[in-house]
Amino acid sequence: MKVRLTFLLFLILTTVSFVFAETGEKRIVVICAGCHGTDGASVGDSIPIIGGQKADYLKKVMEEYKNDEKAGSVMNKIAKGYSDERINFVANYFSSKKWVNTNKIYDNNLANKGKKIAEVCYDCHGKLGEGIEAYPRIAGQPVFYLKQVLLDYKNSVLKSDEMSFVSEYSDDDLEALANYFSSIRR
Amino acid sequence: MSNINRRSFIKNTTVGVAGLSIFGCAGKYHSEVIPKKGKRVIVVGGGFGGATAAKYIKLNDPTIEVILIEKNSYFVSCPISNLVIVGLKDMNYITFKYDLLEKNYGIKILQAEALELNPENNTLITTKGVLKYDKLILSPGIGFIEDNNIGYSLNLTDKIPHAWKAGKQTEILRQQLSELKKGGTVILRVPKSPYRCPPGPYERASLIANFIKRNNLGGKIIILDSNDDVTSKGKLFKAAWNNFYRRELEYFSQVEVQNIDAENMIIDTNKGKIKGDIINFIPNQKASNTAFKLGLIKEDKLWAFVNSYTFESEIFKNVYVIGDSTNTGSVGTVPKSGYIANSMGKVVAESVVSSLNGKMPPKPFMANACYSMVSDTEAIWVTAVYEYNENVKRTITIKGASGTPKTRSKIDAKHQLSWAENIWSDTLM
Ligand SMILES: Cc1cc2nc3c(=O)[nH]c(=O)nc-3n(C[C@H](O)[C@H](O)[C@H](O)COP(=O)(O)OP(=O)(O)OC[C@H]3O[C@@H](n4cnc5c(N)ncnc54)[C@H](O)[C@@H]3O)c2cc1C
Repeated sequence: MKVRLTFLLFLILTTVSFVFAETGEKRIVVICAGCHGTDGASVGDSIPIIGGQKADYLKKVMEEYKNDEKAGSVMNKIAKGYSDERINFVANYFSSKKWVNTNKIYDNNLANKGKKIAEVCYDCHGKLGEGIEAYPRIAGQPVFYLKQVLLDYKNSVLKSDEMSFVSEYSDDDLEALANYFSSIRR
Repeated sequence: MSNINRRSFIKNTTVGVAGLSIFGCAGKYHSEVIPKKGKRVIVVGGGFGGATAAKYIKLNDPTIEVILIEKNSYFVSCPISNLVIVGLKDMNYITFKYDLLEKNYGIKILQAEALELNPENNTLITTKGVLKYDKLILSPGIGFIEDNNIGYSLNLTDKIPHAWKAGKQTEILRQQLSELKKGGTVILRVPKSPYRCPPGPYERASLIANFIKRNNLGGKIIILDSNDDVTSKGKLFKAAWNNFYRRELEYFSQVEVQNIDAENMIIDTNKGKIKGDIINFIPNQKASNTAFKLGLIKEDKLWAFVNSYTFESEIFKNVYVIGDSTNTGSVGTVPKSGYIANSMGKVVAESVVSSLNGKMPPKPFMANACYSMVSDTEAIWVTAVYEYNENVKRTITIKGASGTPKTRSKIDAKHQLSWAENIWSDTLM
């Protein structure tokens, strides 16, 4: 019963967002493509792919940027142009798009090394780095981006309890982890 | 796999504008190049504004026929061209073909020059023949102001390049810089506002100072700014100049150039005479000559006035102008940048598709994010989000959603390249 209800809700929600798109709310998401690529399929290596990313995560991150709870580049300013309602729309829009893996290269040896220590990430990000609810998909993101985020957590540029484990790893281990999750391209 | 497959490098593909063949040989002046059947939008100018508009019209409504008219066979990006000038990137990195717009979205690419407009019967005359349209969008970029009084003409640009349209000019300046002698002087003149890419001249000056320093040339770059002060990201640029380039860079504001002696490479100004080994004179700017020729500029004006909501020209119905050619005040508070031209392309796409389908277009919403290198490893940025405001009837900055960083950083230098690769893909692929 619960499953059915959720499904129904899902249907309603997707229909609603479809109607939104038809009436022009798309105007508030298409401008993101200048940095994140068309429909969020970023081809750059320091800017993350957001098309097909978890909606809950996108929502959380936009809110954190908006409230200056998370350090970013231009996003701390840009997020302030979005109301809560708009943030919801942005998150659902990009989440509904197809995930397109990065085509930036990774290092096979490092990926193999990373696989051996990757288990520590599974609880939150899933066994294939596919993301769970507000925990983002990390599989198929560019190596550079993943490595930078891990180092930022280690150096306290970014803060989170769940990610505090990185302080126990060397920079080389973190680079290996980044290569491993980047290498999962499905 | 590298990104070569996704990006369209010229070195990996055959030369020529794909799709040209379907139009046959150059048509006669008066014959219709492609007979019009259904709804049709013509876009003139395959730069940041025009190419984006063409793509997003197709994304919004694939049933509309879209013809993109561009006079050049390649797109050469102004963003990142400053890095090419100082040898940090090469021309291939910023050069693209137009074939993917045709392949991925069914846009017809016509390599031709738009010459004349016949707004009464919705007809555009090009070097390849005549075309009929329902809607015409122009994003023809900028034009340069020649000034006989100071001896500046565009005939001089082989010797004193502006490099303010990327391509051959970029290569000339890069070549000159690579041959700069020890102790040599580079003069960079900043045009009077408004001009394309406000932080662009200061980024270039920073990179040239960095080039001089990295190569131990012992020379300097002298900035002659015709404005009262640095026009964009001023504090951040000046902090970098103070920290890195005390020897290599000198900045002068409120400089009026009174004469250019290209023969002897001497510039005469209200602050004295200066001799340069390289003179990068960036002239004052106006809308593209195309906008003038097609009749889109009011008497005594330099830029095209448009309706801020629809981008329709204030002069002709069914003709729209976007990008650097627009009069800033008529649009709102947006700068002349590639990111804004890309944003405008999306707004005008909604505008014409809605109109062709008998609907009201949504309120314009735009963004700008513009990175500038201050050295070979660090960058700064400026960003803002804009929305159409009913009270002032213009698209203006959303309160709080704009600004610059506290300081320069290495990660922002990485972001600049990722930004560029993404905006190229969003515009052209
Ligand atoms: C050095 C430099 C650095 C820059 N860096 C940045 C940056 O980092 N970020 C940023 O956002 N912006 C940057 N810019 C600004 C950016 O390049 C421009 O704002 C942008 O190109 C404007 O787009 P547009 O479509 O108006 O014109 P353009 O991109 O110039 O496109 C105009 C096109 O129209 C074609 N055309 C013109 N007339 C005709 C005709 N009659 N028939 C057929 N075709 C025609 C031209 O060939 C051209 O391809 C920079 C500019 C410079 C010079």
